[in-house]
Amino acid sequence: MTIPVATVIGGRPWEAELVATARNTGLARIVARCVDPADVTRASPPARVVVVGSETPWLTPAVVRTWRHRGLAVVGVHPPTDRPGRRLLAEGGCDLIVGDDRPALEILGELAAVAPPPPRPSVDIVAVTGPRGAPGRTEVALALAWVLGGRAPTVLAECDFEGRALGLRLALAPATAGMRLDRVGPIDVLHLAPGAGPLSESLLARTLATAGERFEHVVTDVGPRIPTGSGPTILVTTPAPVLLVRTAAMLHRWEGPPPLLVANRVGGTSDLRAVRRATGLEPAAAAPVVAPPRPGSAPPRPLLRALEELAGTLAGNGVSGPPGSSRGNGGRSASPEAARRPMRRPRARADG
Amino acid sequence: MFDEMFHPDLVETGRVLSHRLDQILEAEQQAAAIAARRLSTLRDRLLDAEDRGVVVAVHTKDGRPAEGAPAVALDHIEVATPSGAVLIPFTEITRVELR
Repeated sequence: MTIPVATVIGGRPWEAELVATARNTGLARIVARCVDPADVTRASPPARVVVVGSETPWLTPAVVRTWRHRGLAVVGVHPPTDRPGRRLLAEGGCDLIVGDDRPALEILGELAAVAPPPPRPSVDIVAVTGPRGAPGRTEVALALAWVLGGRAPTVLAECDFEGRALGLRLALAPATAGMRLDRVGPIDVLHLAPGAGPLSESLLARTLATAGERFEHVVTDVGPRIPTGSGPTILVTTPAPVLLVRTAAMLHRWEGPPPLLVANRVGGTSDLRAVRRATGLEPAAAAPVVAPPRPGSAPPRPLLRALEELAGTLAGNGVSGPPGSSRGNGGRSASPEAARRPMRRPRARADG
Repeated sequence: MFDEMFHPDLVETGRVLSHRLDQILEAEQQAAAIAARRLSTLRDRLLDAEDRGVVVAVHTKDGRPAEGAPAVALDHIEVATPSGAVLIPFTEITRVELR
């Protein structure tokens, strides 16, 4: 695709030549011819490269740095004899600095080398957390990833450095060093080697960022800690009194957008009421009691069904707000009617 | 090394020259921006719309408007309309609306 370029109009003729050549050859799309710095960032569609001359009156190294910080590549053009101008462009960190005696065709030919890759839609990393005491974080994370994986490429990453239940739950051979990616059902699972400690967290962050380029959805099981990422957070709890107390304590320390609450192992309306009362949140999903799944088996179907709507919300909107809020799951939440419906009897064993 | 530009006697002169240079650069930039607009042709404006992905409504002498994304050639434009591509010579265009 042709590179969208913004040029800055200056007092020298190179800009008009560059624009005319770009228009005649189609080597670049001139999406803006700017007179002040704000024109560059306002360009629609957004430019990926800015070509600016050292003669621009308001150009400073800080302006160049700001553009680069915003992900734009900056090409600086200067008269061959203008050494201060060249220095100014170099101080700002221009990706390419060329003399304005270079033919416009050559400058355009070099744009492809400096242009950053087209921006990719940002991927929300969904973090699944919950209090200590086995509320079913791993099972919910797995089921949620499973549902999302049925719609788009999804990776489930184990970020619970202490528990590391995911490998056991899926009966995966332990990673021998660092981390490993395994294909399980419709999802990919990223899990850590037993020796991988907290030091791998930064590595994991980079891995997840890379994962976002390959996968549409990234679900992380972060264990019993409050996630710090900017994506949606799922808080798993159960109606068990001790877990409700711990969940309330967790919410008391909570920072950032309120989580989406999943009430796990709910037996009826009274359980849902207890969860609401203890947390002050309307559950986004209510999952029934299911028999403990066998290692290596798929998530139980009742759990998958319970998380369908939540997964749809996450897949559709990339929301991170609480249920019932304008940024929440579209105002939908686990209805009391759903809780009043008789829960399916626990299966003798989970689906294989 | 001594830098003569920072000699105390030259500081004020340097400031004045720098200010004048800034004024000249600003005036040149304004003049260039005005010249770019005044020298532009209808084809330039349509090329601009094509590069920006702007939808245009082109009215012609026969009174039948065509609306869509333009693709500009040397003597005509091709407008992609829902019913198909329409080729319009520049000489037939009476009005263009940028949407």
